[in-house]
Amino acid sequence: MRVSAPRRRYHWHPPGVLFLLMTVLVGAAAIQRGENLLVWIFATALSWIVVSGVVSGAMMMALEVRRIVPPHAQAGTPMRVKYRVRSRGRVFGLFSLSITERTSGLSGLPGLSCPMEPARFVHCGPGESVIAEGTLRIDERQRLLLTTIRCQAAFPFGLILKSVEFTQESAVIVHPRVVPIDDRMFRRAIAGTGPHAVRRVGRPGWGDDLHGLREFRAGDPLRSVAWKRSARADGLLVIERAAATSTRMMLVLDLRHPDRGDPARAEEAISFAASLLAHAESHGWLFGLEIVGAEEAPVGLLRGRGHLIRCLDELSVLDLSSIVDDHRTSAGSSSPAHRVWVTLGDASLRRQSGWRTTLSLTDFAALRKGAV
Amino acid sequence: MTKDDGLRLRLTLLAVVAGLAFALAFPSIPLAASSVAVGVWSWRTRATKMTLPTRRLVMGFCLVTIAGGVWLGWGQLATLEAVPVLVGYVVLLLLWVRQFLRRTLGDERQILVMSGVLIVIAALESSDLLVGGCVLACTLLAVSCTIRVHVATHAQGADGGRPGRGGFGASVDAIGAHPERDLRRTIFASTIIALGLTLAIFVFFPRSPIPSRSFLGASHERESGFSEGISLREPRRIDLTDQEVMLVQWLGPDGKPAILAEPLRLRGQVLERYDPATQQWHPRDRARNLFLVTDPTSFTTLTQEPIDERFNTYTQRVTLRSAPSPVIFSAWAPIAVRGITSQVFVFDPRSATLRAMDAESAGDLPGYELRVQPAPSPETRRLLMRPSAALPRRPSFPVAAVTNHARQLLLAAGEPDPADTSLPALAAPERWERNERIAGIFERELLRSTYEYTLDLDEFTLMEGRDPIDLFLTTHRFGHCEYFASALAALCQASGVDARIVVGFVVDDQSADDGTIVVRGANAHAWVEVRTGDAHWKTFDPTPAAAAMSDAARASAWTDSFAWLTRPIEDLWRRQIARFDARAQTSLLSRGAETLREAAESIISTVVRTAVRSGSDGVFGLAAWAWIASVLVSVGVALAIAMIVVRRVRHRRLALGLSRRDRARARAAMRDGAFYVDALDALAAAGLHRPAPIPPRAFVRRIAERNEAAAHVFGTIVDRFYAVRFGARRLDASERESNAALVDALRLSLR
Repeated sequence: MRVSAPRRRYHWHPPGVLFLLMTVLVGAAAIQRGENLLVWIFATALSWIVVSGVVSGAMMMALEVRRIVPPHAQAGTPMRVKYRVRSRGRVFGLFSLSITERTSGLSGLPGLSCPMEPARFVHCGPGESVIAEGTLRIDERQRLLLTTIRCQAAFPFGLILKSVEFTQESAVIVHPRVVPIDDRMFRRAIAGTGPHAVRRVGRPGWGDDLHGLREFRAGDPLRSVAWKRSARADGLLVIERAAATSTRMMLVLDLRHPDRGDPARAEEAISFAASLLAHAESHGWLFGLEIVGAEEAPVGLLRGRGHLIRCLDELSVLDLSSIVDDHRTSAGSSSPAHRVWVTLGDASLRRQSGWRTTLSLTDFAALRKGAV
Repeated sequence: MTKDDGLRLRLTLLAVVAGLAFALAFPSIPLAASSVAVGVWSWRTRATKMTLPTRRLVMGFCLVTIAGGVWLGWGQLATLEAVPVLVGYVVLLLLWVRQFLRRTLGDERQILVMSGVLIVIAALESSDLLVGGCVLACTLLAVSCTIRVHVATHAQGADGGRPGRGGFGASVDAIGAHPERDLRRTIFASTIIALGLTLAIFVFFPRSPIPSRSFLGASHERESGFSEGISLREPRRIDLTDQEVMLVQWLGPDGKPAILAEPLRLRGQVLERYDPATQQWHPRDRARNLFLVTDPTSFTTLTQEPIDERFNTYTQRVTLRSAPSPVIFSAWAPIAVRGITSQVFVFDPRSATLRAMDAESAGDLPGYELRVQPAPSPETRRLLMRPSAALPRRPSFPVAAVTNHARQLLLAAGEPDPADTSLPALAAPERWERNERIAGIFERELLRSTYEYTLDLDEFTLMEGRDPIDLFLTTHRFGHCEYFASALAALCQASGVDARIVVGFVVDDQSADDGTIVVRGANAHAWVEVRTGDAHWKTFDPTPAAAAMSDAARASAWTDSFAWLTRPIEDLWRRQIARFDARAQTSLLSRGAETLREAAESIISTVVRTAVRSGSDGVFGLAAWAWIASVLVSVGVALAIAMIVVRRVRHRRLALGLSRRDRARARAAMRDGAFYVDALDALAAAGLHRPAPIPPRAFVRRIAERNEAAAHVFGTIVDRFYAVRFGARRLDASERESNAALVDALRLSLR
């Protein structure tokens, strides 16, 4: 976090301009009429303008702000930014302060601003600290750079707006938008339409699924004997159960397109991938991520929240312009469209085993929870 | 009372005071009473929810009232000057409505704005004490109201609601007790600073002397009811004012308060010439004026020869209450004058009137005294008025219609036709006798019931090609004293009678035991003097006396009972605020500069005296200089040391993050944690500044990126610092030395 000296400015805003106009009119009337009561009112109005600057200027001089940001945020979900505000004043506190942000994003546009509900607080006593919370609305995944905290107040009379800008840089990784996936539809899509659906092979173990039949060995429990099959065979056959394993999902995101395609569709594909990863994490699966054409190395199979964040971080900082359109890295398809390859299997299989399904953006719409 | 109620009460009070200011400025007792009643009523019914039909009814009533008022009063209010009045009435009505329909903070802001508009309009109209008091109260009250409304609006925004919308009370009451104390402190400080600045700006605001503009201006007339000229060009309604113009103490020849036998006529200005083009009466040119420099210790006689003052000489003591004027108001006949300060007066022997020579300096005229002989001897008259030996030319009047009317009246009364040139010119005694007789005929004519006395001239419409005096005499036949006096003087002059108009005050109310007479604006009057001798002018008053006197009597105020209380305040208000002009500014600033100069001189002389005393033989010698130099150097060194210590303590406190509350603990932490501050200073000297928000251990990691060895040493320092700062560990001497050695090691590692 980089911190530099605050920058203080005064601004006129509509109530102040109106007040100034009225003051000028009263002043002109006072000069023209020579009525001392008008002079008094004119003097009062001028003193209000001066007090407005002095009181709030002194208030702002004693202001210290520190931003508290979460390390990650999600596109489409309001991000709450907290500010620890401290008043270094000895006698007077801070009143009616609003805090907003100046941001810049991955797109490199200077001063790219996100709509923000300012953090407001009514009072912070002398020598005290308060926490104020603002809400930032971010619609796109990015590596968001919060550069400047802008505090402003029109206290005490609401005539002159004073602002202090603190340069404090904080980076926040904004994850792609995640939508809930309908598990039933997802399984159906994986099982039914995959072009490379292969048989399911596992190790014997103590799970619930059937692994096969074998000859009876000493020590096998009698309950595992398959009596009907044994009757047709020469000896006793027992039912062998498959080992209990967790499902694994290797997700391959292919964003290559001959003419670079529509960025909005690419973003949708990224969001699709993020949603699938979140779905996998919520079911306790092992999951990994590979982005075809990107320089980043594939993220291996792991499970857990931390791993999900790692994958989402990869997706967040993905630069679409850096996607290499190299068909040798393709996962086997020649179709030049945004799509997501999903390989689903269990941990005992190698990567090529299990269900391997290509899902397109059309499927994304169908897989959303609540979609008809 | 909740904070919500508190804010509402303050705003209600502000609205009531602003309404009162407006009502008093015009003035209107029903309006003032209504303002108070609306304020009280709205406050009492604040918790009552007004239903939609009732709201519509109230709004409809107000709109109809505004529209009707504008339509009815458009004839009178269509002038540019009346626009503020019209705006004021509309705003006042809206303010009343708004006090009943208050739901949001936006409504409260409207009350603030409307109160401000009313205050400005009131100040445009009047600078009376009561209006001024209301304006001052509003300016002070508005500080608190504005700040509280602003904070409440922000609180509403912070609470999730849109600023200025939604519920009212919740946001105000959400401000807790502790912020409320802080807010009160801030409001108090803001009020004091604003008041101080207002006073400073008020004092230094560029002004011109008030008398130069307002003696003949409308505002002066409004204050005193007296004007130095008579203009018949724009007949308008006159509102009686009970404003006290002056206090007159009437002392008899023995110096004791005397009782008046007849109404006291205070002559101010004498008008002899009528200009039909401007339709105004003007005084005659002052060719034979006498300039008098008065001495505050003794009377200055108005004649070059002494006048016998032993008999029948009264003293008229005048204290000006409002609108000081260069015109000296005197009963007939003044023979000597004394100013309270040294003044130059101009005496016009022909009209026997006085005025201050310098209109600019008349603003400083607090009062004066006159020696008056109500029945002067012929010798005194001659000395005073210095009549010329030749008989004056017979006057004429420039309006033919009036001349014809006068001729008809005289013919009807059996007098010879004044237009008949065949009649011989009259000698002095016959001419004076004729003057008195003819003036009596015209006076009786005007006092007949066919002429009506009224102050309301709204229906006195002027006609193209006809003079207002002619219209009064032949068509309208109603008017106030200026019209009656103008008519008599015009008829007389048209008949060749020497006549002139006198404007001043007539008063018959001698209420106080000490002979003090209160002269009010409503006592302003105009009458006629007709020449009945070489140095003798007789008073004729054609205005129906009963009506005029009843009007004047009506103007006596109930506040007279509290005059002992209000007069000092009014004096203070008039001199320090209402009449504060360029001269008062200069005087105040020069007094301030003089005080400063005296203070500086006093300090310097004290220093020099002390220095001289410390020198040898009372001479300001080497020892004295040495003493002064040593004192100055000591003070300078002490200041420098104090600044260094304060800065160092502040630096340490900030670096160690100590609060001011636990002083004993902070002192110990500052002593034992000094090594950490030294370490930070060493790092800063090496270009490794610690950004304020990051904790020490994170700073260690940053240093490690650049200098491993320094990071290692500083890490140890940070550990020890944590033990001192947060572990409340107290260090002995050996530990302090050890820490100092660590800091030295850090410095070495940074090289």
